[in-house]
Amino acid sequence: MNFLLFFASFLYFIGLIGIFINRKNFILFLMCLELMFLGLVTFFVCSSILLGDLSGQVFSLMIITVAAAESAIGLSLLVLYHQNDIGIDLETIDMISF
Amino acid sequence: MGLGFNGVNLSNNYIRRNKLMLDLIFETNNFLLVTVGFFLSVSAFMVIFSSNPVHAVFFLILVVLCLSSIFIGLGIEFLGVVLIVVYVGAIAVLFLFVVMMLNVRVDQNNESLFRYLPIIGIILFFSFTEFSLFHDSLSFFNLVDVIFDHFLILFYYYPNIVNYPSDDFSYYQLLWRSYGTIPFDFLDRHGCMYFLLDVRPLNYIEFNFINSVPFVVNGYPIVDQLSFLSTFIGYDLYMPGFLDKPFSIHEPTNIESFGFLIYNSYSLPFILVSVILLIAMIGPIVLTLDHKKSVKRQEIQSQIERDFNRTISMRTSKDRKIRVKHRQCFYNENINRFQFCKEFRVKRFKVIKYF
Repeated sequence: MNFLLFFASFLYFIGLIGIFINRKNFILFLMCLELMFLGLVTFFVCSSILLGDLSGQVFSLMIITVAAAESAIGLSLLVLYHQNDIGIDLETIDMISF
Repeated sequence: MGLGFNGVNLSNNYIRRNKLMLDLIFETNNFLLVTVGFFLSVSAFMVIFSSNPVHAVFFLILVVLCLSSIFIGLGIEFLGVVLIVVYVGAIAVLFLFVVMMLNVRVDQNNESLFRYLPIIGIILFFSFTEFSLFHDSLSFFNLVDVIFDHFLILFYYYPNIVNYPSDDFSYYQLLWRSYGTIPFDFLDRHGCMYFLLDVRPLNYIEFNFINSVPFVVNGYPIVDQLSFLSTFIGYDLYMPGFLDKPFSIHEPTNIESFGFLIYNSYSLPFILVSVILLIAMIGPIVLTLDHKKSVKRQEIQSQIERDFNRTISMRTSKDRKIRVKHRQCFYNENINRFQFCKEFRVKRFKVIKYF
């Protein structure tokens, strides 16, 4: 189970590093967020197995739901930026004030 | 090892301070798990380092597939399937759709990796310090030693395993011997380990002694006799080889107990999750709705307010000389169908165009 814990933290930190590396691309930023969510799900599953409590899996299901909602809204924002000729670079998005 | 069958008492015994980190990692000693994990980590690397977003999406799919296969192997079937359905079926398809629709150009910027190298180093440092909080001894040489041991045993003894699969001298036992400890709890009568399993997951709802509220369905507690006994004994009676299931036992599957939890004790959070999904539905609609004039759309109010008598009226072909209003409809008897006409002016002449 520590093996899975290792992968959980690995996925989380890979996602965190990916956010720092891919500063330009908004799509890759969202994908890194998905990786971090996957790591969190794995953490919850590990804790549910280690503690012998099934409720961790229930909460991981909720985390998956939140991840799906987040990706949907983030991608719609991406489409919005692209339609208004702002572009999908995070640095240009950061300069815009609404 | 005093492993409780539910894994309840497991958390205290499990983290042993004196063991190496990789000993704990490889405690499952399972080649399949290691292989799948290797693919998972490689594809996770490729997600963040691939410059083409389409490739990144495909590697994200690979990550999810590896993770769900690990989950299913551990006995968490429902979450594994949900991961595939949600991530591959919804999120990855959404990403692919957006990437294909926007036709994003590919940017190659390699200098940013070196620019943010200190931040990456800090993150990695904190992640490893987090690990060293749980595991005392952490050294690179131990890591190399353990991996070398693993592969040596695999390549040296693998032919023997193929020839004598149910022998005492099996691959897993060899690995355990190399680490000095043999967890007998995971051995079945053939001397083989559970498939991808080092802890038997809790697939059934436990009889709760502390709250003393057993789950009751149709007057009978959901916990059967065998698991009830094994809570006293502290040993898994379901383990193959220990008891051969002489009578039929209702052992709830993962999804059964999952549904039991969702619809009973976690019913309110489950409803709240639906609110989150509603927000996820409404948000993109509100954001991407286009209010420009050029976009053709329904104008519901004007459509409802239209008067039938003003827009469509019956006329014969004799009425042609009568001045018709803008865009009216009349019945042409010659062709036996409704005909539209439009009135406009060309240099002081009134023209009625039929079409």
